Amino acid sequence: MGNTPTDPVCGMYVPENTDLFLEKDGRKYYFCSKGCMDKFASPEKEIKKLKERLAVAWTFSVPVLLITYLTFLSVPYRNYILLFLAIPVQFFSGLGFYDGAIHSIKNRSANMDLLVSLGTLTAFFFSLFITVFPDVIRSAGVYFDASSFIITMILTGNYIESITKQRANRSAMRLIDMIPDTAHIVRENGKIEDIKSDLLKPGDIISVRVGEIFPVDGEVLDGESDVDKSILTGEQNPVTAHKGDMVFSGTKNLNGTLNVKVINTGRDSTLSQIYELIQRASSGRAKVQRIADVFSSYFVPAVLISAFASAIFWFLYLRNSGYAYPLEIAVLAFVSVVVIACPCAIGLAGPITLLISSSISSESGIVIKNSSSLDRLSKVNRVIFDKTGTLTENTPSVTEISFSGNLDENETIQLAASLESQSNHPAGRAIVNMATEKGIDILKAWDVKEIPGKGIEGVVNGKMVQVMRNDPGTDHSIKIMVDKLYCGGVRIEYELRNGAKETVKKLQSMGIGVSIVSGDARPEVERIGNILGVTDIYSEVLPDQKSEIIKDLQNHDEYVMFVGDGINDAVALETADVGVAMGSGSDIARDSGDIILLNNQIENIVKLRIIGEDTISKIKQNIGWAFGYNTVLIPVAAGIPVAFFGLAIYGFLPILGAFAMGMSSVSVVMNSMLLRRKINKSMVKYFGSANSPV
Amino acid sequence: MDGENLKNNLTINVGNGKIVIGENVIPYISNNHIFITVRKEKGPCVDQSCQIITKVNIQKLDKIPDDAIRVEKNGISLFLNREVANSIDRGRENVLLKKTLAGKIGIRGFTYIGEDSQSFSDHHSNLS
Repeated sequence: MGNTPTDPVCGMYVPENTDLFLEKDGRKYYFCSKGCMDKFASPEKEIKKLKERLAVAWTFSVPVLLITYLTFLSVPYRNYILLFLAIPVQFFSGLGFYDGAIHSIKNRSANMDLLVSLGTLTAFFFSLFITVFPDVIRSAGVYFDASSFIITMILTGNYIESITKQRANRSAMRLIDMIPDTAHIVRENGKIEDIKSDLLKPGDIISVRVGEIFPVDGEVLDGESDVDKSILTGEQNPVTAHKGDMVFSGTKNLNGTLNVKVINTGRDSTLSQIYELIQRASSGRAKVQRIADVFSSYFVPAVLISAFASAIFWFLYLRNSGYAYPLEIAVLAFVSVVVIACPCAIGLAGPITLLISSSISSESGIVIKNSSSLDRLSKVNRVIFDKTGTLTENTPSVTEISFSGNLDENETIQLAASLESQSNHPAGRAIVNMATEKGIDILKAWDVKEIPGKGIEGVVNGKMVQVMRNDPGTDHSIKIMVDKLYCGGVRIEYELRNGAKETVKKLQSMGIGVSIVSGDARPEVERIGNILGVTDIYSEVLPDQKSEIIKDLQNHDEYVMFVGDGINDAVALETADVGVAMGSGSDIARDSGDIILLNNQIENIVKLRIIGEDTISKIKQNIGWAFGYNTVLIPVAAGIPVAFFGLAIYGFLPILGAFAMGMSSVSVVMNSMLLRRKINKSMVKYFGSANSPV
Repeated sequence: MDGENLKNNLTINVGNGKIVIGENVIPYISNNHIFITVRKEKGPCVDQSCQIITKVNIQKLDKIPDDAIRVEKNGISLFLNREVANSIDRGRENVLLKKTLAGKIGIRGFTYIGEDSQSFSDHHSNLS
C-alpha cells in the first residue's frame, strides 16, 4: 500500500496502470478521475469555475430571499417564480456537490458532499412537491430560500477558504515565484544566449549578472560576488561567493557577474526541494490528530443517523400533539442537521496548521523535513549539541605547537600540513591554514589513509607521517609522528559561534537539559562547556558512540534533540527523537535529520522549540474548536432551541446552519494563520522585542 | 494499560516503543504470519488539505512482503510495515494486541505519526 501512488488532488489510491496521468517537472502523477486531473493541470481554471458558480448562486439566491422574506411583496405565482429562480442555483452552482456525492457513494465512503447534497436536495424537492401539488400538504411552506442559500453559503465558504489558504501558503509561493524564467547560457564557443531556465541541464555553464536571481543550484567557476541568501536562510547579511562555492536557486547576485556550472535544476534544486517539503508538511501528523481520525471515520454516518432520528422524532411528536405541519418540521430538522455538521473543520485542523508552521519556519531558514517531528519537538527535554560546527565555528585555529625530535619546526609543520591538505577534518584545515600563514609550501602526500576518530597517515617526501589524536590527559590534543617518532604536539581551539552562550542559557531557562558531545579531547570540550555553563559533556566520542549516548538518555525517558552535521552525524540524527542538521543545504534530500537549518544561526534551536510547542498547541485548539462546534451545533439543529424559541426557529435554521457550515472551516484556517502571531509572542518572551524574527 | 495486567503477556521492543501481545493472542500469533500495516482512507472533506484517515490493518498472510520488518521475542514473530514500525518507535508507543469482544485481534494504543523520511530499519540493525 505504501508504494501505490495517490491522487495528489483528492488523496485516493490510484493504480499505476490508469490512463489518467500527467508528467510535471520530471515526475509522474496519477489521478482517480478526469476531474482531479483537470484540477491539478489547471488549478486556475478551477478557481474560475468556482467564481462562476458563486456568481450564479448569489445572483439568483438574493431574489429568492427577498421574495421569501419581504412578505408584503405580492408576487403572482410566487412559488413558481421561486422555483425557477432556484433551479440555476440548484443545478448549475450545486452540480459539483452532486458529483462528489455520487463518487462517495460509489466508493462507499461518506463525505461532506453527500451531506450538502442531501440537505439541499431534500429542501428543494420538498418545496418542488409543495409547489406542484399544493393541496396534498395544505398550507405547507416552500423552502427554496434554504435550498439555494445552503449552496450559496457553502460555495462562499469554499471560496474564502481557498483564498485564505493561498495567503497562508504565501511564503512557499514566494519561493517558486523567485525563480527567473530565463537564464544566460554560455556556449562552448563563449557566446552567451538566453534560454528558458527549465531547459538547463547539470553541467551547463550560465552567466548570472548583477541584480539577477540564480535560476538553479550551481558551483561558481569564476568571478566573485556578494549573494543575498535571505530567501533561503533568512540571513539578512550577504555572503561572498568565490570560485568553488555553491550558489542556490532563488538567491540574488548582488555585485559581480558570476559564471556558474549548473549542479541541480528543476525539482532537484534547493528551492524546489524546500517548496515541496513545505507542501508535504500537511501530510505530517501530530498524535492529537488521532482524535480527528476517529471522529472523521464515524462522523458522516453519525450525522445522517442523527438527522433521520431528529426528523422521525419531530414528525411523531408533532403529529401526536396535533400540530398541523409535522412533515414540514421533520424535513426542516433533517435539512438543518445535515447542513450544520461540518466534517471539514475536523479534517483541516491538523494539516493546515502544519502547512502554515512549515511555511513560517522556512522564512527563518528552517526546513522541516518531517513535520511529525514537531510533536516530539514540543516534548524535548534534552538537547545534545555536537561541538564542532554547531556550538563552535567549523574550523579551529592552532593556538600552540610544540616541537621535539630531529626535524626543524618548519619541516614538521610542512609534513603535517601536506598530509592534512588531503583531509576535510577541521583540525587538518587548521594546520594547513597555519602553514599557509607562515608561507610554508604544501607538498604532495601519498598513500593517505584517514582513520575515523583517530587521525590520518601517509607518506610525504619519503617519510611516513602520522597526525593523530593524542593520548587523553595531554596538553596537546594532536601529535605529529614522523617515521614513528614523536615530532610535535598541536593544540587547537574552536571559536564559539555567535549566540551559542545565549542559546544554551535560554534552553536551560526553559527547563531543557543541555549536553555537549565531541570527538575532541576532554580539555577542549571542558573549556567550551565551562564557557557555556554546560556540565554534561562527552569527549573523545567516536562517531558511532554518539547514538549510544542518545539511546541511553532515551532509555531514561528523556526526549532528545541532537544537533549536528547532516552528513557526518547521520546515525545520531536518526536515533534522536528530533534530529537537527545545521549548516546544510547543498542537498536537502541527502541530509539526515528531521529538521535542517540552512544557516548557522544557533538561536534557531530555541526558535524550533517554540515553533514545535506553539504548533501542537494550535492544532489542539483547532481540533477542540472543530469538535466542540459540531458537538454543540448538531443538537441545536436537531431542535433544542425549540424549547426556548418555538418551532418558528425552523424557518431560518437551515440557512443559519449553511452559514455556520460555510464559515466553520474558514474559521479553522483563519485561526491557524494566528499561529504566526502566537509564535511571535513567544519569541518576544525569549528573545526580547528587538528580535521578533517571524 | 490492560495488557499490563495479563500475567503471561509478551512484550516485544520496537525501537523506543513496545508491542505487548496479550496472552490470549499469543497462540494465534505463534501459529500464523501476522502482518500489521496501515490503510488510508479519504477524509470527509473534498479538497486537497483534508487529513487522510489512517487505520491499522492486521492481516494473516501466507507470504509476508519482502520489505516487512520482523520483530520477535522468545521465538514469536510479528511483521510490521515500515510506517507502523516507525510510528511505534518514534512515537514511543505501548501498543497492545488483544482479542476484541467479537473474537478478532484488535490493537490499542497505536497512533500513526506519518511517513517520516527516515526509515525504522535503517537505524535498528538488530532486527531482520
